[in-house]
Amino acid sequence: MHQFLIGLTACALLLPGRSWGQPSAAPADHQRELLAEAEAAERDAVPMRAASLYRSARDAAPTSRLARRASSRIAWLEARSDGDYGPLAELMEIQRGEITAARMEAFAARLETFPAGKVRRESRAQVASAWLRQLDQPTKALVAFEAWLAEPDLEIAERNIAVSGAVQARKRLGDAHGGLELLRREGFTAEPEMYHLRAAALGEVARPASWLAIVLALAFGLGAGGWRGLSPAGVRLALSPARVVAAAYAVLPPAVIATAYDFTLYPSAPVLAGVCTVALAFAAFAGAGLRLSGASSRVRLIAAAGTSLGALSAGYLVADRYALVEALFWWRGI
Amino acid sequence: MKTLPALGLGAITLLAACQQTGAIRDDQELPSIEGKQIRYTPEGCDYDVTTPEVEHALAGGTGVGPEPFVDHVHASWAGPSHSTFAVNWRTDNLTLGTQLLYGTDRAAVEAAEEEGGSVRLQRGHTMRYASFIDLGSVDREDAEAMARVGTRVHEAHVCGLDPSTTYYYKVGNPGHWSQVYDVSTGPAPGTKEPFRFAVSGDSRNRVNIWAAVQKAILDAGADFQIHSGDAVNIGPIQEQWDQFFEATSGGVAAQDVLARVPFMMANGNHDILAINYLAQFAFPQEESEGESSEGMEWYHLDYGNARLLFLNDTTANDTIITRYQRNWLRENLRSLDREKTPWVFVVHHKPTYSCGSTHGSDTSLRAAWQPVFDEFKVDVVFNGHVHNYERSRPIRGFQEGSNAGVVAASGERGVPVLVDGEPSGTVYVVSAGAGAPLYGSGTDCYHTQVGESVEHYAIVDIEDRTLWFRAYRLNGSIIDEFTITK
Repeated sequence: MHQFLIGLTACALLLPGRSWGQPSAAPADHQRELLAEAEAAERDAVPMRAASLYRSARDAAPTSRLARRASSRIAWLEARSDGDYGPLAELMEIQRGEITAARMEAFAARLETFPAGKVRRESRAQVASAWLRQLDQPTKALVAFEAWLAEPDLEIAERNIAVSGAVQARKRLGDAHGGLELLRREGFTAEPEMYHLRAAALGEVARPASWLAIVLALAFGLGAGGWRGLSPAGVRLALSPARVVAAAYAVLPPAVIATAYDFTLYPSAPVLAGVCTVALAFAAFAGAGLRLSGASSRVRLIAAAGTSLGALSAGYLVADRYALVEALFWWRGI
Repeated sequence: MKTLPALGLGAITLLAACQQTGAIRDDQELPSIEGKQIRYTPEGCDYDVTTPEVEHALAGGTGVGPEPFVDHVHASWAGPSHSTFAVNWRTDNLTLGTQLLYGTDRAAVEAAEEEGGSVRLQRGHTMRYASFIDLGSVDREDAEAMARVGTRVHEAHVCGLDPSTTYYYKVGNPGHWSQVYDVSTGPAPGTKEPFRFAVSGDSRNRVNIWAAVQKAILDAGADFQIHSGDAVNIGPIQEQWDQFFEATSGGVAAQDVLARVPFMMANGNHDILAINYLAQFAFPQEESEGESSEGMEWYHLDYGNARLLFLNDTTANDTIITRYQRNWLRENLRSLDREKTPWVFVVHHKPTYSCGSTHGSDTSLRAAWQPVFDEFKVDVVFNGHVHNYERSRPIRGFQEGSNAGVVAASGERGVPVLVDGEPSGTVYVVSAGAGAPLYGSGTDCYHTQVGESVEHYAIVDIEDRTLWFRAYRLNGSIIDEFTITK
């Protein structure tokens, strides 16, 4: 009998149960308190104290879920412990305080004394981002982003973000070509931003040229006698059934098919169709008016060419407005 | 002589009692199930797993290929967060064995080649899948080529765990294991224990930004993370998923974070429920009326005292949004005990409140779902799609005769205030800055409190009935923060 009892007792003692390391209530509460204190120390920009508290929190219940959080913070803080956490403390102060131009100027000067490394790079990122996003000073932001890019040992993600920020700064300064040059210099030629900037750089020339072409087409077409197209005879000539059907066929099916194929082409495809319809109508009425005016074939040819160019220009402006130009560049890898 | 029977009885009792407690386990024998789509119950779990329809699926397989490798290890939940976790990983196409060793002693797991001592074994299933893009380049008549096409992934589900406990695990097969990772189970349901989750979305094509976001999430010590959709640019292109997992920042690959910080996401219009998405992730499969994708199209996760509902707003037809998901949402929230689970979050891709320069607000989605959010007082809705950061003022109800939301009473920083003990409105957060090209943001919409066009992620801390939210730029500075206390 007593062997039986020994067996049962042995089993009870061997019972691992289902608890594989769950901390008991008291250490868990203590751990939570330590963690809360550590997080408060981080908020107060006292990283050395925060690291010490996180270590204590981790050690209070090492296999717990919250120990993992403590371990992550310890690793993060220790990777930034250059200068005995001094530079990190300064960076944390800046990050958590009010962003003003004076504070950024002062901090930008201070960070030049930081040792090279993570904290100095992150400090440059802070300054550059503040100038661009919160203080809206793209010129200063550009200088700061360039200084960040010049840091040694920059990781690819940091470089990408710095370049992205610098390009945004250039865009705000209206310098699409500068942005393109920067992307090329840093080797980010496959970035979506590249296609956007190419479209923007093209637009700097193409937009005013398009408006000019439209105005000239309107002026020439109407001035050469096209206005007669609005007379009853002109309307009958312009709106012949054959012309209307041809125009509808040229405009409507592509818009419908494009939108059905890709819903993201709404509303750009219907708007493009609408603009083309207006251009075709103008061409029809102007042509009818020129015929009624007895314009020479040379004048009518020039008017036709001008109207075509005007229509293409109007189409370009719509495509540019709805980012179809950059989409085309991306699609064709231009 | 009398001693022997007593000893024998004692031994039998000892064995039986210890088996009941789990100290000794029968050798696992996962019956071999094979086909283009399989369904089985993982050992020790009380839920079924159904694979999507793939080129080949096999549970209980064994063996490794001639050139085995293991990568793309990542964790998630398909069952209760406090007692399970699921792991997916990729291997070469010829490796059929799917094993996961786990325990609470890191050194023991590292040393183990098989189950024993404190280290346990869980077997799972493997799938070889190929998207229509993969298949497009293969001669369908070539059986050998068809047998090799695509990607092979593995999935294992571990159940019966303790809450709030860190487990170490590795995946693969004897002699060919991944490195050891750690993952934690969530707190017991309804607990007041603090927990932290990270929020991001629209990682898409700038993978080094995505890697930096993952590194930041790891550094923040998040317990788990949510993603509001558009993980990649084109869902059926496997190469993009490879980049999603393999992107590296600061010496840390995204997959190394995803293996430690469970990842839960909503489908986006770029993921499009592609086979690559469905086969590579394990989420709860609660198949409901009108739902596709073996129940992974929409689902919920309980963590601590919060419920997160993941919806799909990229659907083949509107009925899936206006009827099926709406009904599911209503029934799900109606049955929820808000005393035990005071926090409710919804995650879906397209924002219903956005001041962004591209896409903007999806008002038809707003009309379909906001009434349910209002009725059940959802706390925060997380969205993506508009590539920037934006937080709304608290919204409750509609302006008369329109589908414009009503800005509810708000306190400092435009956060909800308590009205009759409940937050005055739902906060809508767009977090879509984890890698996709940024869109312009705006703050001059009536519903917008904060907006910025910047790469970012967010951290949500919950302790009992208090929530702290902080959105961070990747340089560590804070874009936005607020607190809600119930």
